[in-house]
Amino acid sequence: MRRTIAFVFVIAFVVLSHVAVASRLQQVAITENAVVLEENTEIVVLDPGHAVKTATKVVKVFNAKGAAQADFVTIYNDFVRIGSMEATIQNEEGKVVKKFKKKDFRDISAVSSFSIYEDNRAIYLEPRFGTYPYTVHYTYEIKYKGLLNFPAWYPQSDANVKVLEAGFKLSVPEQVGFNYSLSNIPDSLVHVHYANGIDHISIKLSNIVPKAKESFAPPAYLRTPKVNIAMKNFEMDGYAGQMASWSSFGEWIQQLNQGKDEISYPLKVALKTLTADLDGPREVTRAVYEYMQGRTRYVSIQMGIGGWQPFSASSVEQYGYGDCKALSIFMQAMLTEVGVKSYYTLVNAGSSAPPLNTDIVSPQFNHAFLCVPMEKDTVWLECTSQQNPFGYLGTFTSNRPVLVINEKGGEIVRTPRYTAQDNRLQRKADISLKESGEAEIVSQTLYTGLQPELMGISTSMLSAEVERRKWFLNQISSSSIVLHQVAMQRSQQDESIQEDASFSVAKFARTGGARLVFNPNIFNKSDYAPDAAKEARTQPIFITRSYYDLDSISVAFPEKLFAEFLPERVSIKSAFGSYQRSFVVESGKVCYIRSLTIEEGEYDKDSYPELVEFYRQIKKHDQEKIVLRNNT
Amino acid sequence: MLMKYLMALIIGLSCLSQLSAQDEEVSFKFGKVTNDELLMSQYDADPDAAAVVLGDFGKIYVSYNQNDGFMVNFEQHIRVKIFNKNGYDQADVAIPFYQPERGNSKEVVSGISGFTYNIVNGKVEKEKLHNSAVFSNQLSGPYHQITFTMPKVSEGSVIEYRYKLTSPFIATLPQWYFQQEIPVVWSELTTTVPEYYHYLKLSNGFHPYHIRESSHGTERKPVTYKEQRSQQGMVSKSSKYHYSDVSYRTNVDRYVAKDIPAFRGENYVARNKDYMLSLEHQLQSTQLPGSKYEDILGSWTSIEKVLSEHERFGKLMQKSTSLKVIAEAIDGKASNDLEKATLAHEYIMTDFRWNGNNGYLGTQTVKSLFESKSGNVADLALCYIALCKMMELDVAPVLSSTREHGRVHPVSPILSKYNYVLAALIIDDEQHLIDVSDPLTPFGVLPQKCLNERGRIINKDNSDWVSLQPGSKFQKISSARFTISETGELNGLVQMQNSGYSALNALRQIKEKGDDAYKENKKSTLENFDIHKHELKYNFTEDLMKLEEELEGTIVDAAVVMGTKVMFNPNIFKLVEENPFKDEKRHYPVDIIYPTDESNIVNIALPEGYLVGELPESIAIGLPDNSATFHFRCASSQNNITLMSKLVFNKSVFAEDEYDGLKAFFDVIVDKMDAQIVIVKQ
Repeated sequence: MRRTIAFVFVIAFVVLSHVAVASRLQQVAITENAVVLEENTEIVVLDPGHAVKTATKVVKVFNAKGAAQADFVTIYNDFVRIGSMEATIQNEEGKVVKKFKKKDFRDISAVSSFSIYEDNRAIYLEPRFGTYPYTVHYTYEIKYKGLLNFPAWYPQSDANVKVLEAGFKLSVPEQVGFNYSLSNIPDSLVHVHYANGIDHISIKLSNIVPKAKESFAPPAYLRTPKVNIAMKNFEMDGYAGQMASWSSFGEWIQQLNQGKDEISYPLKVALKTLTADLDGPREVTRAVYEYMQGRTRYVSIQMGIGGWQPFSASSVEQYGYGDCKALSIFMQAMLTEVGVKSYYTLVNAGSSAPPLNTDIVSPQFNHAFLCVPMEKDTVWLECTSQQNPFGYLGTFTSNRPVLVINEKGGEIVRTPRYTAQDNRLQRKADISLKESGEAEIVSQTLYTGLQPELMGISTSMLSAEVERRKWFLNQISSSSIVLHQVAMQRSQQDESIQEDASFSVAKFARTGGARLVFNPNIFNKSDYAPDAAKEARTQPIFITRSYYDLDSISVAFPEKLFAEFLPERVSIKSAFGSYQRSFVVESGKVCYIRSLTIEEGEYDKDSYPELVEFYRQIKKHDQEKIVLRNNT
Repeated sequence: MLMKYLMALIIGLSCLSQLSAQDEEVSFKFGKVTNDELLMSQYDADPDAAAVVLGDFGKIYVSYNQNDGFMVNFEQHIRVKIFNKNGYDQADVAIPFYQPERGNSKEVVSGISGFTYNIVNGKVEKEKLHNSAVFSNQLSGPYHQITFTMPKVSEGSVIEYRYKLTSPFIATLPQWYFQQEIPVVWSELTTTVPEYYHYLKLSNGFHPYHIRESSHGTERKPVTYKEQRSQQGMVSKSSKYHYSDVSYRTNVDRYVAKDIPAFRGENYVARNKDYMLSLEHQLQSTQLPGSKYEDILGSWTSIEKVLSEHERFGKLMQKSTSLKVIAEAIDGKASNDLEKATLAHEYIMTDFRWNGNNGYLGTQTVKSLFESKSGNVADLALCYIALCKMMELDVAPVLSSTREHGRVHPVSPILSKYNYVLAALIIDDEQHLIDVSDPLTPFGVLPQKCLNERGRIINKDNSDWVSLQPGSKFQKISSARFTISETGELNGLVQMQNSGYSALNALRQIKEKGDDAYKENKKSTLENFDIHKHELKYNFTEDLMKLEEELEGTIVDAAVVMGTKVMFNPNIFKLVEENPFKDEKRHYPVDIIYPTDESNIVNIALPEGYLVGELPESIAIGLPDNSATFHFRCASSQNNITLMSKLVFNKSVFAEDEYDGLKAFFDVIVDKMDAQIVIVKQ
């Protein structure tokens, strides 16, 4: 039910000069499907409001599978205009066999699926030619009007494609000024010089080779070269601003939000009544948040100053909807009214979004929400969700630096991280087993923190039984299930969900002769084990989420049975987490306990075999069975 | 199943001519809701529903206007009750429309208006849809879309809106969906068509109509007009008629469906939307005043005529100089017709490449096809047909539809149902169906995406349906020879033979990703099998329907040692890991694409001095009419155990009322896949 909101479109594109390419063709191994021979980008900043990018890109395509690597797409809108644009296809002899003019590029709307409206469009081209190999040459020019979102440079637009040569040049008038930061590019490759009131930098990269595909690999943004750039002085749609520091950028945001926080008198009265009898700022904030959730809805309409200018709080009040910015300002205005201080906050949201690079002041944000400092801690309010529990960050905004817009302008703050103890799955199941192998099962499960999200429990399951049953049945690894009922209840206080289920399984235990064989764990078996590395691991290991699972299952069996075989107790500790599993038989019951902790983090590449072994052991022990036997 | 579907359609069609007026009626006045609607807290027939359509009224009328001639007008008025936040999506609306970049013919959306109603402090509040919330957007080329969002939506709101779409494209009428993803209490469509136009009607889905009635009306108009028709470039003619003050009769049809359950898609269905209750219209014939009856796209005969003259169909099958050289070369090499056809196929497969696009019309001239060597499926199929024709082979195009695109109408030539072209060849009285999109499907075999009931041969003299059922099965035989040690370790080797679609699918993986990736993938599916050696035997040039594999290795953690006893699962490979059918109810037929035939034979040698203590029971079960059978047989002799398991599906589509049986059938298989053997030391 969550929606990601993008009001910044950073589409990296790439590009090049007219250097003769033929001489280098021989060097290219034919093992790839396509290779980028060269990309050159040159950006000339004219003043705080204008810049021109000229670029070329040459891609060699070896076979049909590589053809899509030579496709081209770029986004435009009122602030980003496409000047000239052309492409050619050359055959192996270097003869031009096809030409594309600007009008041959397809023009499409670039509205994301979650938006009602955005003013972005895109043009794209999918050049194809029947005789391989061939090269596609692009030459184009893009004009920027308003330099808030300065185009970053990522020469390796696809982490899986090799780039032979890439060059970047930037020139900025002294009085405009700029900052840049590098990812995966050594400082030594950057040349800076100053001449006639203009700062220049240039970068040359060669032979950018894709990293091997590995399990638990770092995300692409940690693997590919990139330069982030921001103008110290910029202008956007008549609003001048500074990106010299986070506080000056924050001031610019405040300027945009200025005067948007009006709410009506009747609403003010209603808020006073709502919060009159409540005790303390936390309860007041909770009540106002729930009030907002009940009366508004998230609708993405992105326009104005490249999507940065919010609609007003009063428009949210009037229509009952708004985007992340407008809803946050509306919520802030309501909180102000009841005497709770809150701060508009910018974030790069998303469960796998690159974190904010704090080395450079630049608008690396795609979302807005609200920060409400309390006496001892901070409450974060996601205003675009009508259903999030109070203060829930989720994978969307947790554990990352964000920009809080405050009295000082702006300040970088880190949102909380969910620990394994926060993300718990605690299950207790009582199973009564008959001699026929049939079992009656009652289970209670508590999901806390990120667990509901990680387990794919959607809010519609809370209200719709059909969906809940369907989901539940897919969790259970047994056949012949008759589900009597499954209920889910969300806690009043936090995001945790309590699930209660009862069902029967006709073939819980395998029967044969005098024996019953079964695995009590039909709920939570790990069936995943990463492949052992065939070659030496090249990248560090990334585990993205911590969690803790505890399953306690008690199986009551008929008196005349005894345990013929019990798997041994297992306890494994590793850097990545720990696993325990035990079977204990006492007074006609098998008590099965399994606990698993996984710890997120970055781990040394050399520990990969240990990781593989850890998962393999879990998988193996999760499959072990107990054997009961008839003693007659 | 096919017959049932066919019958449902035929009954549906014959119902169209019957009158069945009912007493119950529902009508809504725009801008006025009732207290009952506002106070409603759930929809009793489906308490889970987050929202329900209270009424959805569509009017389609073909009417005349002085400037544009006959136009299609479509009006929709819908009212939706929202129960909870999961139903908020209903308040975001998109209306697609079509405006070609050139020419004056374009669709226009107008008259958008709407209200949201809420009860606030016991009083009804009515909020108007504001113009600032309505956006128009050009998606791509001629495809446009209007989006809007309703104001003040909260739990309990009733929203309603209406709009009108005017279209000059009279060859088809807008498709009306009676069913939606939320339940619908009442959905009603009225079509009013002048006597000059006759439309083919196609109903999808199984839910019956509550009301179905026909009547007549008259309209009188001063007429001086120029008539134009076109549909996706299929027909394009214009003729002038001059009349004044003409009165004509109209045919009025009314369809009402009531209490339609929410549509929820299911797995093992080629295309879910085929089962959603809806109605489509395609122009069949015209009889304009003063002129004679004209068949437009009403019969296969007229479609065949139009297509064979069409520059993007028939013209692409004509002889060309580019092909002449190739035809001559093949003629020189081949000794018989079959060889000619095969070599021609090979030529297209090696020299040309399918660009991934479907369609029943080509997209480029023969010249540009030869330049890019790449085209949509019609470009390539028609080129292949042209080449065959130049070698005097008996060949014709077949219109068909991919599984993803849905099933075709079993009787009527509804062209929108087609998106694919195959070639049908007759050589020595035998028919061969040829696909040209996929170099990994051998000559004469249909790729999986094409296995979709039936196609239509387009041939002036001999047009007919042709079956697109799979010609071969998905077939797999594994035979394993293992020994078990006293410590419970299983060692041995397995030989696997894949044929039919099993080989086809596997070889596609091998071709695309390589031997190693295929082996890796296999390894991950064979849990607990520590593979020491894995050999693949195949030949891309000789046989694309055969793959042999030999695996050697150790099964780890397979057995439990209990003192002098060892217990283990003899199913070295499982036919089925888990029951694929977990849903409690099934609404639509189950489609498993092709018949299958899989068997495993396992021989296990016991350690010296061990005897069998317990063996799983043998079993043989089947579904009615032997549509599926499962055999499981376990036997022992001296110190050997032999296990045979075999699963056969003789048909590929099971009706929804066969679902429970199918689910229980899989339960038995899954259970047997977990069987245990106990051996005891003597």
